[in-house]
Amino acid sequence: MRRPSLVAPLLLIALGALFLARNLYPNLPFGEYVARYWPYILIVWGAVRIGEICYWALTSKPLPARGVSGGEWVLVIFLCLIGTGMHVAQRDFSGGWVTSSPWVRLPWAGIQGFGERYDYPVSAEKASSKTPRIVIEDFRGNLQITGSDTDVVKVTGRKSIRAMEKNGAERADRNSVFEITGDTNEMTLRLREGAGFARISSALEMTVPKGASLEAKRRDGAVHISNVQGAVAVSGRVADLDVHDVGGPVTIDVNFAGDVQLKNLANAVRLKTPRTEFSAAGVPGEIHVDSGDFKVDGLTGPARLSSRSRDVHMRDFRNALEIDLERGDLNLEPLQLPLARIQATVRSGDVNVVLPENAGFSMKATTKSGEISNGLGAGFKVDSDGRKQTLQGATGTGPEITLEVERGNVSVSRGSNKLPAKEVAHPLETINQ
Amino acid sequence: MDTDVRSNNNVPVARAPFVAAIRGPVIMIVLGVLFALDYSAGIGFGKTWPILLIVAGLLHLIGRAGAGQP
Repeated sequence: MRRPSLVAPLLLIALGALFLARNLYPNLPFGEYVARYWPYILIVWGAVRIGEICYWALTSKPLPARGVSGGEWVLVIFLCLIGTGMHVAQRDFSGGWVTSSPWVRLPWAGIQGFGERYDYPVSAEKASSKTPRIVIEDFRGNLQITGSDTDVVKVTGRKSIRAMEKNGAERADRNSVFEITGDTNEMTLRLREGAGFARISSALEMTVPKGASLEAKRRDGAVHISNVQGAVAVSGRVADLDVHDVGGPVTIDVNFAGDVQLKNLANAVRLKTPRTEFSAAGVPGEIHVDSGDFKVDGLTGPARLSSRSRDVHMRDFRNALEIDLERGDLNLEPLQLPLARIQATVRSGDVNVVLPENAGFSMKATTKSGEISNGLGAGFKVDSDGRKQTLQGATGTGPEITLEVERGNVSVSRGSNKLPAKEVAHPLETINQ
Repeated sequence: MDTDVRSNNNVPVARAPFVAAIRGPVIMIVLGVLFALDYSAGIGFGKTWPILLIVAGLLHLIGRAGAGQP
């Protein structure tokens, strides 16, 4: 007699939960989790099997001749092949390993054998003009760049090397040196890597002249850039990103980002991640992007945002705005007068718009499946046609505001506060002084 | 034979079939642990795979010893 095992239903539940979680939190890197943690499936699977066998043994039931059937072994082999495949692919993608060819890195090649971490200091310096162009080539680890009144480019920090023994780590340290090459106007910071299989990650602090332009190509880690007057470009793979007080245009093109924080950027801003694209003429205020939200407070348009899945909050913006949102709620509060054209398309999510009290504009809002709540009063009318609702109207003279929602509710109203809260705060501060 | 062992004392079954039954799951767990070590501790599977052979051999030995007992 063959008793049904718990493993198959448990695997189904786990698979279902994983896909559900992936749908609910599309920005979490589930592929990475699977690539990293799949061996634990084997461990849990085996443990459940042993638990079952012990239970059968204790309740005096006959035991199967083999704890794992032939079919299950086939599944296990498939799991191992897919798991190692994903792991290798992921590791190449993140580029965390110093060795170059992916094929020598397959687990059964037996080359990876790294136990302990050894730290070594990093320091490099180079004279520079007032407005150098600096390229930071990819290395693994964190990077902080600060502009200051100086005419040298200075790098300090540490380098961590994983190796089996101290000798290997020291050899890897000697063979991998951070160097600044180029002339005073154009220089490159790179990690010169010698032969070796050690895994190196670094945490570097860089001081650059205020007028510098920066180009950072990253593989991993956090990036902080502040107080620079030139152009800033960040590309590659980044964990967390913080850019503030930059005078030149900022271009960010990253293929995975944790939290992104942008603040006080005087010039054009472009931000691109796999699921979100954003551009604006400037960010006098700040933008915060995490896995669930895209929050803007203080923005100069014309601005465009398209995102696959995020709740968008935009407050205090001027000039034209165009938003295309696949899934997520949209909250708009322009605050600034005069209003400019707003065009928003939302596939699935609620839209909430609060307009300044005495703004002139015309509006057309539609939702194919949802309700429209009209807080604009006279001059605006809501029509229903089955599940579709349309709001139309105008007040004074002004730009056109278009809201198109496929599935979700729309709420439009006028704000009682004409002034943003932070501007109200100033007079009070002067009174206190 | 199984029923005899069960009726005599609290030891549920004879050891041989039990060891044979858990052989597969134990090897599976060891496989999982070796891959997990590769990814988290950096001790490569390419270095540790012989442990699988050792464990399989040990399980066979234990199974045989159990079967050989009266």
